[in-house]
Amino acid sequence: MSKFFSNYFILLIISFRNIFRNRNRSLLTVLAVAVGIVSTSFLTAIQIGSRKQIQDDAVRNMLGHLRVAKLQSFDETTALHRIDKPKEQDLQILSNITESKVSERIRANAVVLTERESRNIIFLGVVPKQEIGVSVLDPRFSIKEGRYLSGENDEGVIIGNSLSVRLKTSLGKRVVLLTQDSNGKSIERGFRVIGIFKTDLKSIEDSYVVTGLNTASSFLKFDNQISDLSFLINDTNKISEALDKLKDYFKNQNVTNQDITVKTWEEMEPFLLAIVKLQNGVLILWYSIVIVSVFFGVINTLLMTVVERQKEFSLYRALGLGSNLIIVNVFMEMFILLLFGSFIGILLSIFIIQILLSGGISLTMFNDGAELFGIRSIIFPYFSLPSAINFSIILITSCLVGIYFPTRNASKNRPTEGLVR
Amino acid sequence: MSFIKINKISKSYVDGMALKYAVKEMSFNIEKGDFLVLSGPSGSGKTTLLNLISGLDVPDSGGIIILNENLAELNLSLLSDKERDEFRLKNTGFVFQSYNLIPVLSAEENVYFTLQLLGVSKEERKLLAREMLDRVGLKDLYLRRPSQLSGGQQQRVAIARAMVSKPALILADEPTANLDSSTAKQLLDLMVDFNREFKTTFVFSSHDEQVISYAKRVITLKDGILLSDTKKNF
Repeated sequence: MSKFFSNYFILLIISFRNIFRNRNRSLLTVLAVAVGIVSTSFLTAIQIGSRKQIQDDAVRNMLGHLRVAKLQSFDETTALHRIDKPKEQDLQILSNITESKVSERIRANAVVLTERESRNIIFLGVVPKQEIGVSVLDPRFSIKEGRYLSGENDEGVIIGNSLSVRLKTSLGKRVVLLTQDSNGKSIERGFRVIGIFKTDLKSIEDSYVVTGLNTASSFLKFDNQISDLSFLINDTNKISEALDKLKDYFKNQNVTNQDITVKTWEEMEPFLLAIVKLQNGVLILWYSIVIVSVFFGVINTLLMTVVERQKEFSLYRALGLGSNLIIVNVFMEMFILLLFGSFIGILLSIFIIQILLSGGISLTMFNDGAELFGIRSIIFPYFSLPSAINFSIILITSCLVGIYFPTRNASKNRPTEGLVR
Repeated sequence: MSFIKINKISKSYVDGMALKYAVKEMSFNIEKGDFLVLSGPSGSGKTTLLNLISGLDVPDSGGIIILNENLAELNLSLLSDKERDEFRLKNTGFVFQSYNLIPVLSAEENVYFTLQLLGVSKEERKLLAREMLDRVGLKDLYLRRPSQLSGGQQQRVAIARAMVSKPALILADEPTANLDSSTAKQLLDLMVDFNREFKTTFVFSSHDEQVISYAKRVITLKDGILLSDTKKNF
C-alpha cells in the first residue's frame, strides 16, 4: 500500500509543478473552462429566473398552482358552471391538507363599457382578505390609485391601469358590465371604479374587473355558489402531492357537485408550459454548444501538452514507470486544471449573477415581445449551484475522456522513439 | 553462468525504401561486474544495442536472456511492456547523453524518484539520495532544479539517480559526450568505484577514448556487426 501511495504522491507533485511550469497553457485551460461555466451559469440563471417568473406570474394572475372547478369551467368562463361555496371549516381543512392559501372566486366573461369605449374582460368576484399574498390583487403592492376592496360586500370595482387608459375612464367614474347570469339571462349593471391596480404585465391589467365576492354572487345570481377555488401552494415542490390530496379529499367527501375537477397551472396554461419546455430545450442546446467549444479548446491545449511531453513520458518509461501511471499523471494534471477552472467559473458566476445582476436584467426594449411569452420587462436571474456543478462534472468528464486515448497512445509509444527527440 | 546472454539478435529499420540493420545477428555474453564499452562510429548500432539490452526496445529476432536477482533466466523479448517496465525499475539504471532529468523535480527528488517508485520509505530514500549526491560531489545542491545546474552537475545527478537503487545493471549512452574531460574523468572514476564496490555491471556506448581507456572490455561495432571483443587486464 505504501508503494501505491508513494507512486501517486510523486505523480501528484509532478502534476502540480507542471501546472506552474507551463503557466500560459494552464491559464488558458482554466480560462476556457471558467468562461464555459460562466456562460452556461448565466444562461441557466436567466432561464430559471424567467421560468420562476412565468410560473409565479401565472399562478398569481388569478390562476393558482391548483384550481378546483367544474370541468367545463376550465374551457368556458361563464356563470353557468359553479361549485358549492365551502364552509369556513372546510376551507380551513383544504388549506391545511394542501399546505396552501386558498381563494374562493367567482368569474364570468363580460363586456365592460364606458361612455366612449368597451372591452371584453373577465368579471371577478373575490374575498379581498383571501387574495393577500396570493394574487396580483394583493393591496400591498398592486393598488396604484384609490383603494382596495373593503370586503366581500364591497359594491365598487377595481380595474387595471392599462384597462382604465383603454376605456378612457378613471377613478370614481362608473363603468357598465354586460354579461349572463347563472340562468343564462343577459344582465347589466353599473359599478363605480374605486381603485386602479398595476402589475408587471399589461395583459393582466387589461383582463380583469374585480369586485367583492358577494356583490358578484348577487349580480350573477350564484346563490351561495362560486366558480372555483384557487390554491397557492407554499412549497412549489409539493404541487403534485397537494394535487393528489385534493383529489382524494373530493373523492372521500362524495360531494354532490358533479364533474368537480382539479387541475394544475400547467394543465390550465399549456402555452406557458410549452414556453418553459422551449427554454429548457434552448438551454440544453446551449449546454451542448458550450461543451463542444470548450471541449475542443481545452482538448487542443491538452493535446499540445501530451505531444510536448513525449520525451518526458519516454524518460518515465525508461526509469520504469508503467504507462498506466503516466496516464494517471496526465489525468491528475488535467483534473486539477479543470477543477480549478470550474471553481473559478462558479465563483465568477456567483459574483456576476448574485451581485452584479441582483437588480435584474432590463428587457424594456423588448417589452411587448417578452410579454407575449409571459416574461416581465425585468428578469431576475437565479444562480443554480447544482446546475453549475452538474455542468462542471459533464465538462470535466468529457475533457478527461477526450484526452484519454491520445495520452494512452503517447504513454505506450516505445521509449526509444521519445528519447531520441 | 553469464549475467546477460545476447543470442543472434537483429534489429532493422526502414530507411526510405530500403530495410537496414542497426544490429545484425549479434551474439555475446556480459558477465556480472563487467565494465563494458560498446564502441564504434556513429550509426554502428551502439545505442540500439543498449536499448535492446535494457528492454527499452525489442529485437526483431534472437533473444536477450538476463539472469535476474533470483538467478532465474529472463528472456526480455518475451516480456510484456509492463513486465519490461518493472524489470527496468528493479534491475537497471540509466545515464543518457542529454542527462534527461525530470525538469520539475529537484536534484534530490530526481535521484530518489526510482526509490519512491520502488516503495522505499520517505526517510530512507531521502537519506540514500543525499548520500549519493554527496558522493557525486553535489553536496548542498540537493534542492536545485535541473535548470539551475550546469551540464556537468546535471550529469552527476543522472549518475546518482542511476546508482542510488544499486541496480545490477547500469547502461550509459555516451555519458561524457557533453562534458569536459576533467568532469568526465571524475564521473568515470566514480563509476569505476561503484563497479568495484557493488559489482554493478556497467555497459557504455561511447567512442570517446577516455571512456574506452576505463573499460575492462571493449566491443567494437560497425554497421550493426560485432567487429571485435577485447578484454583488458588491469
